[in-house]
Order: sequence, then structure tokens, then C-alpha cells
Amino acid sequence: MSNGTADSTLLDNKPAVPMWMFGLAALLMLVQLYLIFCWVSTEATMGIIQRVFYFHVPAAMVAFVASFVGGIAAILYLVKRDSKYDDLSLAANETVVLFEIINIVMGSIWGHCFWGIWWTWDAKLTSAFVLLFIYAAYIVIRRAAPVEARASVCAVVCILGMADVPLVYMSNRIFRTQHPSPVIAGGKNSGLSPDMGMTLGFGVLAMLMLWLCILLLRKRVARLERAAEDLTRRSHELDDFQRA
Amino acid sequence: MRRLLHIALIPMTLATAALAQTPASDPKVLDSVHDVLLEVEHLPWLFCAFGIAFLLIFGYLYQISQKEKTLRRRIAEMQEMMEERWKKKG
Repeated sequence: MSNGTADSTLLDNKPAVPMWMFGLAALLMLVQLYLIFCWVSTEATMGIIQRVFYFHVPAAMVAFVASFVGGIAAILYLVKRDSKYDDLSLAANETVVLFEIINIVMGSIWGHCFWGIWWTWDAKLTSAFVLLFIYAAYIVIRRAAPVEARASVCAVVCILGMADVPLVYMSNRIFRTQHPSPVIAGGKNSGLSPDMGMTLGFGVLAMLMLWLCILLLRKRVARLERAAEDLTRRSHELDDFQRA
Repeated sequence: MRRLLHIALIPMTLATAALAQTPASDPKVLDSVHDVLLEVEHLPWLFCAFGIAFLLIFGYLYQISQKEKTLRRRIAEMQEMMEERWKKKG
């Protein structure tokens, strides 16, 4: 039995995210806002509300990337049983919830302005909602499951979530949906004007950078949570040992 | 800023049309007013959407940082307590 001081390196003051990374993410985000509000041309049919597209789509893309990172980390955990993969999976999966909420809220506001309704149960919106629901369930299960089985149960749930991502992506390609047709890789009549394409591309880059910062921060917190749990367990073991 | 200028441009466009004695129903004037209206009609919703997005991001970052602080404090306290107990135990 160790004496509980082995995790003292956890309390170092080294930042989880280097300052340059935070600075770069903030700078990219500011440039992105400038591009959205002051630079890109207004779409002729939808008007100014179409500008949510440059945040709505990158948020969805980042949620997809986070879902894959979380899913792959979960698979690695199941194979190697190394808790660092479970921490990474938890961090990535929480960010899926964050970016999916942003994606759905922005899309819903756009729908209210352009369609006149906040929500419709078409394939794209429903599959996105299911994705959010799976990852929200992941967080609930994580808190409710017994500690010894928690990582394995959660790994299975997030692998299921990862499997829903292709469905969300393909839904408006496979089914007829009220959601607008894809503008990227969407066939002959799809596409964006160069300024819109550039703003969208830059938006994806800025959002990915922001996501990476959040992911590293959350991963550090996950590590601290694990260390706190370990110490509590050791403390209980010590109690039992002293009683014996 | 450009959008705010556009809002100010609506009455100016109409006034200019009146001064030039152009009928208010002139298609060019109507098109121009329509373009400006298209730009500003959903402006509050646009700000609302971005406001919510940033609120969520900063809210989440704040929650993480608070959690980290709490955990660091808790770990430091527990480590101290454990060390003391081990010393007593010899």
C-alpha cells in the first residue's frame, strides 16, 4: 500500500494549456467574428441570419471530431486498460455535448427566422438530437455507474455515440429533409462562393483550436478527479488497515 | 458597425428618394430598402445566437476552472492528511 504522496506531481502549477495556444485560439476566434460580421457577403435569400452558418457548421464538425477522438480513446481504453485513455475519452465526450448544444441552438434560431419554426423532427435534426442525447446519457451514466465498471460501461456508450456520427452526416444526403442540402461535397448544385468558403474554413480552424484548448483543460480536470478518487480510496484502505 | 450604418441608411435612402422627387414605389428604391431590411431584419436573433454560443463556451470554461481549483485544494488537503496519518503510524 502506498502512502498517498505519489500523486504530488498533479499539483504542479504547469498550465494544462500553453498560453500561446490560448492566445492563438482567442485570436482566431476574433478574426472569425470579424469575418462573419464585417467581411463575408450576405446571402441573398436568407439575409443576415445565414451568418450563423459559419459557427453552426464548425460546431457540428468539431462535435464530430470530438466524438471520434472520444470513441477511439474508449476503444484504446478497452484494449489497453490505461486510465489516461478513459480521461481523454471523458474530456472529448463532454465537449461533444457542448458543441452539439451550440450547433442545435444556433440551427434552431436560424430555423425560427427562416422556416418560422424552432424545430422539426426531420432526419438531420433528429439524428443530431440523438447524438446529443447519447452523450448526455454518457455523462449521467458516468456519474451513476459503480467506479470499478464505470470506464468500461462508458466506453461502450461512447462507441455507440461515435457510430451515430456518420448517420448525422449522411442524413441529409440519404433522406429528403427540411434541413438545407449539404453545401460541401453535396453534388453538382452544391458549393459556396469563395468568400463564404473561406469564412467557413477559417471558422472550422478557429473552432478546432478552441476545442483543443477546452479538451486539454478538461483532460487535466479528469486526471485530478481520478487522483482525488484514488486518495479517498487509499484513505479508506488506511482506515480499514488501522482498524484491523 | 457596417450593419448599424445600414440601419441609419434606411431613412436616408427614403429621404433622398423624396428629395429627388422619385416616386416612393420606384423599383430601385424599393429594392434598395428591401436589401437593407434583409440585412437588419434578423439582427437581434443573430446576436442572440452568437451570445448563447459564447455564453455556453465561457460558462463551461468557468465551470472547468472552478472544478480544477476545488479538486486541487481537496487533493492537497487529503495528501497532507494521509502523510500525517502515515507518520503517526510510523
